[in-house]
Amino acid sequence: MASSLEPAVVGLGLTSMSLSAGGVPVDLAIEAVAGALADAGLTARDVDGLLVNSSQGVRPDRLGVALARQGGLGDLRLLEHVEIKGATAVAMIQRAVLAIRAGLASTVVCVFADAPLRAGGTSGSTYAHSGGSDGARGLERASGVLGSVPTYALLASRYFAVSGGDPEDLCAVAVSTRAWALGNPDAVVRKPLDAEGYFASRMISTPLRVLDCARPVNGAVALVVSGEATPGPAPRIHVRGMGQAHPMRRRRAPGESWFGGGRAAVDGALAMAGLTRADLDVVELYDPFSVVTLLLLEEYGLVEPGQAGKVVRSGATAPGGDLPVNTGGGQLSGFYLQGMTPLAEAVVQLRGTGGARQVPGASTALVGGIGGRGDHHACLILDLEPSR
Amino acid sequence: MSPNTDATIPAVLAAPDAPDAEDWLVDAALAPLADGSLAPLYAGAAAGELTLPFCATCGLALELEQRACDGCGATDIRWRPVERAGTVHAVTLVHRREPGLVRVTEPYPVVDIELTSGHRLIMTTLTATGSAPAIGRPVTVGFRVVGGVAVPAAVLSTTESSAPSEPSDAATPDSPRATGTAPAPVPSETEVSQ
Ligand SMILES: [Zn+2]
Repeated sequence: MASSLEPAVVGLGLTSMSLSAGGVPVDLAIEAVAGALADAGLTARDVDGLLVNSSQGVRPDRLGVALARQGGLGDLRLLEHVEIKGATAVAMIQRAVLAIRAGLASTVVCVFADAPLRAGGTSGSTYAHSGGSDGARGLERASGVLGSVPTYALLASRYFAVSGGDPEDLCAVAVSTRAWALGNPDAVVRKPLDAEGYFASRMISTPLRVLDCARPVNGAVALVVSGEATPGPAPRIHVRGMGQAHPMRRRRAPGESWFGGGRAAVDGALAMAGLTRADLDVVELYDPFSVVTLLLLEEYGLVEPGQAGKVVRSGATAPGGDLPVNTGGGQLSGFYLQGMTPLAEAVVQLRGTGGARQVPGASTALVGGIGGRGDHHACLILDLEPSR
Repeated sequence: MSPNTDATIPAVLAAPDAPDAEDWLVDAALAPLADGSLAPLYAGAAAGELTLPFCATCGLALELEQRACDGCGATDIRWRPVERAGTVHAVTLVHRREPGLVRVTEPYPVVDIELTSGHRLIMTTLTATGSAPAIGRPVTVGFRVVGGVAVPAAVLSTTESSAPSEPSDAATPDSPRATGTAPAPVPSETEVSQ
């Protein structure tokens, strides 16, 4: 039986974002799901679909479809562990909307949880020890490429060579994103940041400093997507457009392989929505590293090629600017819960509940999720207005 | 997927001159899996050759984990020695040094190399250096030994001697020997990044 309304995001639940060890993903997920259902005015018995997004890497307690049983849900019509690396959270919303439109489910919960912070070790240490010894990753690790920072540092190095950018551009992203975080109570880093503070921060892998890197947290986010009328007070956030792009950039010489090819995802989503880039009120991007914000602004056609640094340095992406980007502090200063970070913030902004960081009158948002090394792109156009 | 098997080289061989020496950069715990999906590369490296995959049908240079040619669709992959030369495509100086895994006390370079063979390979340098080579700079390729496994490393020719560890018999790109190795590559599910 098809649902009665256009599928929309009707519930949002976040755990507290912890910078210290504690919690396991399944418990964090259950807490976030409960919060999202309460937000929507629903109970577990209203749910007939569950989509699960686990963190990458080899972790014994990663989230899986067992969450349905462990979390006390009833019989389901849709249950999947979705996996497109970091693009998964955004892709889950796409999957939920399509399933509801097809009559395969009516109310679908989408959840991500992670707990990379362990007692006795930093998150950097957790990542440094992940990856294994086989394949290209094993060869890279033997060459000192531990964790993901050196990889994105290589990307940044190449991006600078191609775009003409420099560390001042990275600084501008970190400062702009921090300015947004100041207004977000869920952001884990809310200390004012200026250029002096940025350049005083610890270098991790040139040109990336610690303030260019996302802040891992232990936490979870869940969203409810439903085609039914729900009692919650929040406005329905509609999914007017969606797209994916998986560019097969070959690592071959000569030629670029670190970036490029994601634009089709945004073009497709905008075409589906019948909107243009000028219609976007807020842009929420997956920003595991500051350089990725620069890169995606160009790759997604939001600024002219080679102009991202200049645009960010102008203040356009910061509070009060005309191209608000990562308005909750992103993954850099807000919290790193992979694709859920931009997704949750877009919902907050369109609901108008952003408080001190609210972009006045925001009604249309672009959400961009990436996975791998920018190998996977999934995006959404979220809107207060339905598409039909 | 049937690599040529005219030459059989042990998958794990120590470096010719210093079999038990510790690597300058990382702990032996980071030794790559020599008989895994990149076995031909490590077997070649043990013999002092940079051995990389090509499409056996159309000759296209393939990525390390590629199992079918994107040019012609063939699944027959031929690993063969290539010229050990290229240029720097991207570079970083890694300051974070994970205790227990990284042995040095100063920042170390990681470079992404465009090889003349058409491949791209990420490596560090053959010996310790605190400076990052510029993009576009020519390099040659030698081999470090990590936990008994030889792995490619960049030699910055103008500032760094390659004498002790770089093999003396340079491979020729179309050398008929060592074009394949014993174990067939096994497809693997390897975490690539986040
Ligand atoms: Zn071919």
